[in-house]
Amino acid sequence: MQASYRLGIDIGGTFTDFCLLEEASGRTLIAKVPSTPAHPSEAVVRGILQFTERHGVPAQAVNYFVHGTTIGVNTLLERKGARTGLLITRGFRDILSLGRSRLPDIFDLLVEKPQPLVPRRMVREITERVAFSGEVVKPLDSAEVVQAARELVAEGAEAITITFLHSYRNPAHEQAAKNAVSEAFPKVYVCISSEIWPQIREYERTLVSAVNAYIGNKMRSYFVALQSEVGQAGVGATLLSTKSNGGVMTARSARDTPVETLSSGPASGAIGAHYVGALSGFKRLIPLDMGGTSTEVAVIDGDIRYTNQCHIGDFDIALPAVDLSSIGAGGGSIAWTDKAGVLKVGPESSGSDPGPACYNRGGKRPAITDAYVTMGIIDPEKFLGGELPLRPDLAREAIGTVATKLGMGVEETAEAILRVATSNMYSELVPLMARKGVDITEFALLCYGGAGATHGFLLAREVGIPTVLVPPSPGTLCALGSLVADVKSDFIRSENIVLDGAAPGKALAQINAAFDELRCEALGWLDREKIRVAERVVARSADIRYAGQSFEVTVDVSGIDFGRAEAAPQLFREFARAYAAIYGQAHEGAPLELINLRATAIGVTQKPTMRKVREAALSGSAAVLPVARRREIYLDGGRMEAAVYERSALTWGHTFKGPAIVEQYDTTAFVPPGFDCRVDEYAMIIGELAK
Amino acid sequence: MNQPTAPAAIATRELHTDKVFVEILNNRLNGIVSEMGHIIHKASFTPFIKEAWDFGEALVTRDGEIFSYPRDIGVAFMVAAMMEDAIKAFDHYEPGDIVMANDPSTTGGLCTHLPDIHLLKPYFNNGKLVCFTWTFIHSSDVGGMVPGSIALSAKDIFQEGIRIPAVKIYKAGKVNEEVMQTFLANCRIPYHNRGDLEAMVSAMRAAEKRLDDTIAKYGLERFEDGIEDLLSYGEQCARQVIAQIPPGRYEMVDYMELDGLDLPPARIKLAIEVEGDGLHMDFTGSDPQLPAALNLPTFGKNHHFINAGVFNFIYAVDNAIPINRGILRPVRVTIPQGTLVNPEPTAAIGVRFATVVRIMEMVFGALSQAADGAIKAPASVTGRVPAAGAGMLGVTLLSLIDPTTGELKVNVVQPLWGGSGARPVKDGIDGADFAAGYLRNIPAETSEAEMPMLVERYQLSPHAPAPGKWRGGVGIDMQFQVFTPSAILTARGMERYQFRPWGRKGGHAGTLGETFLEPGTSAERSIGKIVSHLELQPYQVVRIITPNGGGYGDPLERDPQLVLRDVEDGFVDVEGAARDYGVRIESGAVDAAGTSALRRKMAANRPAASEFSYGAEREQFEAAFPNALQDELERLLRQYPAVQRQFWKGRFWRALLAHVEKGGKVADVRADKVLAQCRDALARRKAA
Repeated sequence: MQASYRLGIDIGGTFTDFCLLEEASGRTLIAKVPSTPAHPSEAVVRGILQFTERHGVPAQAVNYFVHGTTIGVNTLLERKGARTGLLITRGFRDILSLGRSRLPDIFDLLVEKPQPLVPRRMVREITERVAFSGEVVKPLDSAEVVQAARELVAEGAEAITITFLHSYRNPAHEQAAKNAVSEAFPKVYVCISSEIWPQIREYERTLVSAVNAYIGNKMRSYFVALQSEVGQAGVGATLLSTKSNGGVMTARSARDTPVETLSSGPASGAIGAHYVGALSGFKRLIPLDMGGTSTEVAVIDGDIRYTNQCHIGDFDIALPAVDLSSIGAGGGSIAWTDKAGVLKVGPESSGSDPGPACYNRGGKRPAITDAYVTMGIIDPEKFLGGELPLRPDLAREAIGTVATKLGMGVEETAEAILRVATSNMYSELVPLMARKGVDITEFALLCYGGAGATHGFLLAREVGIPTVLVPPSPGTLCALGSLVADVKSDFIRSENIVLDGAAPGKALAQINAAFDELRCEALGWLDREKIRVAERVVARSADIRYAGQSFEVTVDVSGIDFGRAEAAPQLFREFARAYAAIYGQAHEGAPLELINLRATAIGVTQKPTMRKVREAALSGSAAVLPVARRREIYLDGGRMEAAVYERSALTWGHTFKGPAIVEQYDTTAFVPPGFDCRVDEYAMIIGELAK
Repeated sequence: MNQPTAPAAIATRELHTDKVFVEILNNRLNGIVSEMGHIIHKASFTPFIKEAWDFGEALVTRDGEIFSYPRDIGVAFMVAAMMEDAIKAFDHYEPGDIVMANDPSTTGGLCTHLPDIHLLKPYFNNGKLVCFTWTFIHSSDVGGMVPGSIALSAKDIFQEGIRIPAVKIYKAGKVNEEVMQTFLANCRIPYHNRGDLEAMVSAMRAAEKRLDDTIAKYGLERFEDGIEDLLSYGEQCARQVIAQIPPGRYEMVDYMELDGLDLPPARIKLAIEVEGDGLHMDFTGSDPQLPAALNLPTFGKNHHFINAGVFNFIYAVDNAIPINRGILRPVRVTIPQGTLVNPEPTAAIGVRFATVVRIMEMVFGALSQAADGAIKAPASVTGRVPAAGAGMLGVTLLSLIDPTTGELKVNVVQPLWGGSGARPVKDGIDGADFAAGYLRNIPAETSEAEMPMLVERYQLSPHAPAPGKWRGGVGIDMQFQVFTPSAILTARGMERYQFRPWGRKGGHAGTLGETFLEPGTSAERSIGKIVSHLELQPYQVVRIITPNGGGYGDPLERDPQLVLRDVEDGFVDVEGAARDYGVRIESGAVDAAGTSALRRKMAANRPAASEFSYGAEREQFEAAFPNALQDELERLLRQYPAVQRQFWKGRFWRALLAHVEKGGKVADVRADKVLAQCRDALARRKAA
């Protein structure tokens, strides 16, 4: 019988990454193909053919096929989505432009609010009203809805999104409006807030639905084209798409809720980090994804941490997602001095075009990558496997402009740039981790992305993270993550149930009934997805606060049976624990308010068995990695010699010490003095800060 | 002189540390204060904080200067808050002490009204007092005559709630329960207030841990040197900005409305003198303190609420500046005692933010004349300063009996603001204003979940934006009803019901605020400003429309395509496009030829545009009560005790109106004579 394979693909702006896994042996093959933004499936097909040509793997042997795309998020960021109309409850015409009001920069007199996705002229108010109780205050007139939709279509609307107040509680009006519009205008992409994400808070719900409508058409035609083209190439497996929540869904589902894919790329990276970290025995991780323009982190504390709101471009999208936060600079971030002569790094970035000065594409201003090159950390001949030779003279020249202003040497300035960039990350990372109740010293930093391994050890040193991990393929971790992700979807009910410890009976019954319904919804979704899974789980959680507060803590309540009386004290205990972890202390005896009840349907997929890199660990003198080359670098205010290793030469049992540089196709890892490294059976580099 | 001015020489101090370390330290400290803010944000209880972010947090030197202040969370205007008096309230501190205060006079103006509860915690490192952490929260109630504690009609501070002079609420880590219980016993929402205090303490404790780490990494000496460097770095950046403004004296006059007090609007006078790399703000000539809660207790200092507009301007020019008190070191002030901007300690102050907003816009008005005025300034400082925005930050509070529990509930319905003023290079912001840019609105669904009410409308004002080359921002239109009996609506900070937000350089003035009962029915009533409170009948509908900000520049110079866009978006109608902008729109497109012709004709037939457009209401008032006469009266009133001056001003005003009514001319009025007549009238009454 022919071997079967899983294929994971991550379609980025510059490269499309492939990770092919042979199911029986656990062998993985990776590939990188330049992306074809105008027609993304081209690169996909090219990559698949490459595996056939180079490794003899036929497309037909792929029996599990997941891909992640940035088309949705780029459509939103570049504002190239459908001309979208909004139908909204009368009195709330400007909901998308008012938003939650706070200005993006509260000090700047020239500040602008983000342009709403739907311009005012494309908004129509509808006479209807449902109260908080779900009761209809004013009935809906379908004729008015159709007339409004007709006007919008006449204005060129290709998509229509509908939000009515309190539809999370009673969606009847939204559904009736959707039916009326779809019937009258079958070609228009219609979505309603109660179907996309039925959560209380009208602006947030309207926005999620509007984004979905805005990117809906484009994503739908993209998925249709991709499915057909990879089918023609011979892949028979169902096409799956990655999601912001770290799971996967069928492309069919993704066509209905493309808004769930917005941060799927970074989310897959975190899933990949979780997987390879666990393989190497690390349960508590901070995945660090540093690329050209930004650096993002997540938290893995046994499980991956999720958030109920993520920031994409101009907007806060209230949808469950892997909790990823930008902590600022990427390799392209620019260094400059302000009027007082103080050194600054970012927020401006040279991006990939023109890129850092050393790219020799016209960039004149010094970027972080120029600092790496100037300090000798990156070998200009080896960047991207030598495919993009860098110009160290241009890097020095650019850094020289800043060095002159600071009255410092060029290398010294290069290092100062890295230190300022690192302190920028500190200022974001530390409050972020504290807000999440994470003591950073108990975690390992897992570095990936183009510059993650280059900067990760420096960051770890600055913030006091004692362990740094570099996986074998830091550049294709997202593609690997998509392969090992579970089938997953989230469900929510906004309830506002007050639970008083003295008389919990009625509230518990309400909670129990709501969770029962959520569970049915969740299992129903898994049924419809029809993806082969090893196990089905419905996890439950609740957004809870002390009555009177307005920010909720999400508490995992999967272990509580709300049909039993003990549920109340159990819930108080669980909440107090979760609350105290974030805020230091809980308030004994105060009544709780359960705002949202959540269920997550998880189809646990069969995880592959990864292959160890060799039969047994090297030991004794064999474990000491021979130094292939040495390179002079500048660090900590002086010159020093660093050992330079080829990543492919590293295997299980090898040990080495900083200062060291490990070079591989898609990144350069830099280990400063003070770190002792070893390589484990899955080729993970494990660096420990010496005591 | 029509030349760019050469930057004046700036005295710069060499750094103790270096130009890399200050940035690294500043980044670290930003992380620490931001963390504090997020902890308060999430763990606090008071309704207004929950969604609206009315709280603050910072790190403070032993001398009381803020050396790190967050830019991503909390209120915008307290960077220059002065902590020295509150710190000096005790001559000894030990680890675990926390000072609490809400009283202006014992904190030298750190506290500016009673609902703001401030905490200061000394931070020790190895037994040495290194600095202080500071937090404040706007509590929704600290007692007093109305729920929410803030009433415009308060006559003195004693009506505004419990006063807590600087006290140690924690001593060596232990809560001072006697003070705590006394405080809580005087609040309508003790449970919330206690929760808020605990949230603030958590935030300060978290900061201490971070400071420990930072000092462990860099050493105490370098840390302390770095703090000094950061402050002088901020100062130096600010001086470089100020030095580019053409030197001179720039004056501005505006008013606080005193509806319901039988007093004419109270005038604030400001002159900004640009002197090299420093600024002098002079409030001489401003009105006496008010028998209403609009007084601003600055104690005559370079106060954060006086210099907030200067800070915004400096930041708008140089947004890489480190956010700390050093930025305001180049400012000095003259604020005569007994005026509404430096009242006696017993004056009522609850609604002082309304005055703050007005002053901020007056600072803009003065700086606009300086940076975008007759003398051409370098491009680095021009084009930043806006026309007047809605100039108000109103807070509508609903106090009602919860129909299910029978408990009294006090909740914010919505913080209200209007549109911003237009900028010299772009339109104003719709539905947001700089004075309230840090606040968040409250979802209607949340309000309806928490209170028996229905929010019928929350969208932009139906009134057209103020015309200009750049148009003003549009205000908010909110309408709601409450279902339960005995509901009381209080609204504070509602301003610009009498005088419009001003336009600049030919831009029109904005619109006035409005309040209606039973709108859209035959029973519709316009009730003007809600001065203190409104008792609502069940299902009675209330509608509040906030002002639109002023326009900037000549409307005839506005890009016709932008006018068309506003027509398409429903902000301006086709008639308005022709009338206000000279833009002809035919079947959805700009008629270019018709527009040119109309604009030529309009340009030929109009008076020269004035520097400021104040609107007809203010022009009429100043015709009846000219500025020169107001100046003269203000000087005469100084002979009376500060608390009595408005009484005499009221008498004078009525006499002036009577004089005009009898056919007298304002130009003939001599202030000293009229005032003497008022005195005589009172004397006659005594005799009778």
